[in-house]
Amino acid sequence: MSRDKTDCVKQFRGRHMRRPPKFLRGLGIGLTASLFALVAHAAGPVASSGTGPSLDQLKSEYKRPNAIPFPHDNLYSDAKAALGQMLFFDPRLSVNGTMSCATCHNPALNWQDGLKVGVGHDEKQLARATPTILDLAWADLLMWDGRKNSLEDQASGPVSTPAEMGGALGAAVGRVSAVPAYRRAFKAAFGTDEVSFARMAQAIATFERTQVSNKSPFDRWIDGDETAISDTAKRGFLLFTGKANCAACHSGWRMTDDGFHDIGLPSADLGRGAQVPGVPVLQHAFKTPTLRNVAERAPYMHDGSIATLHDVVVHYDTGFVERPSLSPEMHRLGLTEQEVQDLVMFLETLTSRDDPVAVPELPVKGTDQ
Amino acid sequence: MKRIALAAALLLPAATLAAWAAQTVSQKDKQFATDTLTVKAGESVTFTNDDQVTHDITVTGPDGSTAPGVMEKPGDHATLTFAKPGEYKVWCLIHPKMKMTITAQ
Repeated sequence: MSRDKTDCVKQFRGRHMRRPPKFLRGLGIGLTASLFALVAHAAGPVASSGTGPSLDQLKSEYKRPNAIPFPHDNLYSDAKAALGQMLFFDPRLSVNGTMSCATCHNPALNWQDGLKVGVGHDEKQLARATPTILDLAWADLLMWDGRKNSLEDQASGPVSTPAEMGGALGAAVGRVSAVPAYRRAFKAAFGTDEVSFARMAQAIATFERTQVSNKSPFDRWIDGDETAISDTAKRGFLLFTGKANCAACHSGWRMTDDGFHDIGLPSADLGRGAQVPGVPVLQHAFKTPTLRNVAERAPYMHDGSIATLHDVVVHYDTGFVERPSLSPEMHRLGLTEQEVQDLVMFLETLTSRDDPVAVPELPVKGTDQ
Repeated sequence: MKRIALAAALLLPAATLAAWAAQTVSQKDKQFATDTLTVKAGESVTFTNDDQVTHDITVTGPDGSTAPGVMEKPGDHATLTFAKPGEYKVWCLIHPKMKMTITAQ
């Protein structure tokens, strides 16, 4: 995806002059990852070993960016984001008028649904868990299996899939187009009142890109506030970037490499392997999820098969299935119970108090509102 | 994704490589050291995995066909020969954000 960062920053600053976002206090991303084993004592001081990068070097890899990137062909505007928010919450996008994007991506549940796997059209269970939309402006390939190339591309997926929102893309466009207030909103966003799904997808994607996590206690620690997180959590961070090898995949401020890895879950789902057949390392591989607000996003994994963060850590330690496609980054860790708890304490520092998202008032057909 | 042999780019695994190419591209911090590189048609480029994680190198040639990728563990290297003129997309299937373009002239 090509992006003109200058334009993007300008667009972003223009938007937020009236409401400065908290997360802008961060600086640029410093991607200088070079992870080595660190010394982390169960009850001792928090310090890296003498052979690896310093703690400051490690922390620099988690600096937050200072602007939301918007693609050249879908730049930000207030009108477009407002339209996207309406569409995101509008059940008229589903074939029977009962499901909106927010039905599964519920802002009160960190843009997920709290279920093991999603529930689609006619209350039928889907195959995989609902991923969050938080911080996706920085993502590349989307969906657990990476089959969507952009947020615009992704927006059409659930609407056009029979199992999810019923699969009636054209009907959804027709229902939206029949509402005069929607047509005015399209004119404000795109210059003309033509309603198309391409435009709907652009608006939804724009709204989604504005959903960015606020600073968490971890970010305040990264910024220099030593009191922001406990020593236990600091030891967990050293384990995360060292012995536990979490940062091999959960790297950068969003705690994801946006890559695809088989982490040894006992599932027949091929994940990325079904999209890219013939590549052994991609069989059973799924996209690395962000860890932002992870403590509030249970259950975990692409199939919702693990209920607690403690058990997630145990899975990475000893619980995974060994098979040819297993990620080369996976190996038995030999964690103590104290180290498992330190890691969980660290993960809990990634929780931010995010701005509340208002459910928009949806325009009604026939009343010209 | 269609994965077929790409005649224009010969992938030689590190174990069989006697010499490194004149041009090298480092893979570090889940990025290629450069986004673009121009070589002469027929010239080789050596990719070195200077990262702490395993990478894949997959190439899509000027005709759109994709060569089988090679896995590189940390410390490994692989050499690709860009035989025909044109634009080649090089990326890592494990970390798809990691991509670059090589133009053979």
